[in-house]
Amino acid sequence: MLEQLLAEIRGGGTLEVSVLAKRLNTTPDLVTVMLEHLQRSGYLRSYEPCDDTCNECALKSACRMKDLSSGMRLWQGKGE
Amino acid sequence: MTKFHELPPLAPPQVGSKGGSALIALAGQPNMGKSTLFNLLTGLNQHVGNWPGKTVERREGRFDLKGRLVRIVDLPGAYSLTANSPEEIIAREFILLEKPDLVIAVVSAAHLERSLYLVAELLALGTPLVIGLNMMDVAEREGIRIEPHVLEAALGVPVVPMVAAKAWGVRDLLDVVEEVLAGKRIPTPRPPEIRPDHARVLSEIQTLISSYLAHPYPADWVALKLLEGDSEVTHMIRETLPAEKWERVHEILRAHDDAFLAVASGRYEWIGRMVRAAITRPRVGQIGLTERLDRWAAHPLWGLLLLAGILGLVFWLTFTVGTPLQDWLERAVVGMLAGWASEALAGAPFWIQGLIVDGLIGGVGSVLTFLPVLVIFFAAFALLEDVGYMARAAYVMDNLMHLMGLHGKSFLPLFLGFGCNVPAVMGTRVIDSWPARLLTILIAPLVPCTARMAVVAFIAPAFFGTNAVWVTWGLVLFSLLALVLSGTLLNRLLFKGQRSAFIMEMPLYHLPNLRTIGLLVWQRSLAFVKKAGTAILLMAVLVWLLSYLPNGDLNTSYLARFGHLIGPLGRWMGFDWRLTVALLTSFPAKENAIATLGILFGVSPEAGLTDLLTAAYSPAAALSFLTVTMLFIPCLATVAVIKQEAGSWRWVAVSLALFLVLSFLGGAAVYHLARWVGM
Ligand SMILES: Nc1nc2c(ncn2[C@@H]2O[C@H](COP(=O)(O)OP(=O)(O)OP(=O)(O)O)[C@@H](O)[C@H]2O)c(=O)[nH]1
Ligand SMILES: [Mg+2]
Repeated sequence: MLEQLLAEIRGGGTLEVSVLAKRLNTTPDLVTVMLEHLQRSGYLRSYEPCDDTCNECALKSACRMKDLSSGMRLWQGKGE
Repeated sequence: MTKFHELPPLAPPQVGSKGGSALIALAGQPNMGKSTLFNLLTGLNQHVGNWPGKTVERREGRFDLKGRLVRIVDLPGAYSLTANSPEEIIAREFILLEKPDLVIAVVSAAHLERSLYLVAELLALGTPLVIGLNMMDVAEREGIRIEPHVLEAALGVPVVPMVAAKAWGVRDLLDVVEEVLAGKRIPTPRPPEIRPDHARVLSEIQTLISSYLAHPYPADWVALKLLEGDSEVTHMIRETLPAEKWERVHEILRAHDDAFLAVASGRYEWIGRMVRAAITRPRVGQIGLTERLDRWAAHPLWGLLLLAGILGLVFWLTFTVGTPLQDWLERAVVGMLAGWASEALAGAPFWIQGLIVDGLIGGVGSVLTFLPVLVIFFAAFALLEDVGYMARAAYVMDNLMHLMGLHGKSFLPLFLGFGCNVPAVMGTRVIDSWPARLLTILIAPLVPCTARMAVVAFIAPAFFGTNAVWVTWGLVLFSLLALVLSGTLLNRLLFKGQRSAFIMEMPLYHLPNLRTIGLLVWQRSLAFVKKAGTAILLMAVLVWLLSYLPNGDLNTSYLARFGHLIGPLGRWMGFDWRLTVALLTSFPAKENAIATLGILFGVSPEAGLTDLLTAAYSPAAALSFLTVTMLFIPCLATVAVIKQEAGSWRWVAVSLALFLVLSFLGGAAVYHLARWVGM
């Protein structure tokens, strides 16, 4: 199942956990767990929409990125 | 390999130890409740130290189990028994080297998926195992129904439901532990099966290494870890094996370098089966609700239709509530103010009268009448944001672009664009691939921002009455379509269709917080009023001056001369010189288009700006003007950040050229099409 998940990821694009769950015929929870596993093994890295680059931004106080992405978890392939 | 040092002796428990002694380990992923259970069992009879050579806390304690002295160790939280972290190494070395009489795996009933990977590895180790199915209260609260007996049958080891935090079920757990320790109950672990081809490879490796294993590691386990690419075990075996043997092992491993995935994959399939069997009712409540809603909201087709529907609803609300208010402001307040100022300033020099009545009241005043419409917009979008819908909207849009072969990581900045394009362009910083980032910078201004929407909301109802909702809706769809098309084109042209994956887990939907929404509406309204008092005011004064100089007559003014000069370009799109000038003055701020029209047409108590506009232009020209407004070069602030973020004037030029061409073609096409259907 992890192999299948990795194949989906290698296909590229924006992938959503529940969509992946449907494609893999499993639960979103299990997909999240597998993504965390891939992250720990170095295949993926987790992704912060508001990291250090945001601190130097002049629009920080007006920017809604943090609020919009709160409660959201994001990953991306390594080396991108 | 370090052996673990013995801990200093603890004060012996008060109870006698007629039944001998036993060593028990508590294993589990982080946050499953191991320490809670440990504290419950040992009370004050515990010792806290560090694992040798590690900064990880080691906790050991003692308790009496029906006359048997039990030493119990609280292992650090581990996701698996692979050497990924110090915690995982500590946990597995303890189990392999100290050989506890029994391991209690503490798992969470509310997150069974999360808990079972470690269980799969523990089952494969063959140590006597009892599962403490903890957090039953959380599972119940989330509506999960779980069958411990089914899980027990499937795993082959005892499963005891419990709530460690409330000491519920702990007695039952201890009874079962007692039975296993006394040999009255013998677990028969049923670990996930290894794929036949890997089983063959495993036994091959096992024969190669078994005679060299001088330590307590079981050969089948070592072989499996080698196949999984475990760094520690690989290192250890390379040190122990004679060179030629290691060469053989290494060759086999190289031929199966994907085995880590295959082995882990097999475990996850097994977890999937366990979960399906043991959980008879999945999660309901907030998470269940989110899943059900997202079947529609995040669906590639239904999601887009829903987005279109929601936008339609917002526009409908804007026009039924906001437009009448705006009309009233325009007639009663701005018109009356203009009339009143003309009278009051009757004796003042003509240019002061012009500046105040036409420039300030007609220009800035007209823009300020947007406020009710904007407040409704702000509130609607704040609401959609706060309940968690905007993430879905951006996702389905991104999905559409993905279908067209576009990079998938741009949706975060794009969804900021609905508010204002400036943060959208800045927001592209979150994309770390440069081509993808540049592409997103270039197309971000095609996301209709609030200022553009305000211009649309001002003009559309005047010309199209009850059809304004459809017109607005069509315009938004049109710009999004332009975004997708130009994105696809640029992607092919400039970046040769690179694609990489971006995976997201959506936030849960939740009830809106009225305070948050109110605060957001207030902040944005305030920002708008500030903008009206600065950028828009300045431009209005400038436009008024140019429309007044040199001799106080609009038709021979500098502005008119300039307008006539560039007028022919506008004619393709059905514009007269005034519309063309209005469009150009919208560069500092989009709302200036209306301010300029206000100045050029002059407002009075008898006729508001909208009345004057409908009298002067055909609906075809209005539609074309709106289309161009949506696609035209972004405002000054946005262009400035494009320069800053893209780093060179070259990309600014590309961006400006893109929007000029797009808006000109779009406007001309819409105008001629509209004339052709008789508008
Ligand atoms: N609702 C509920 N909470 C629990 C239960 N058991 C433990 N908790 C809580 O879960 C949290 C984590 O518990 P711990 O005992 O620290 O978990 P742990 O497994 O030792 O975690 P690590 O040491 O990080 O591996 C604490 O806040 C506990 O109070 C339970 O059965 N129900
Ligand atoms: Mg703990």
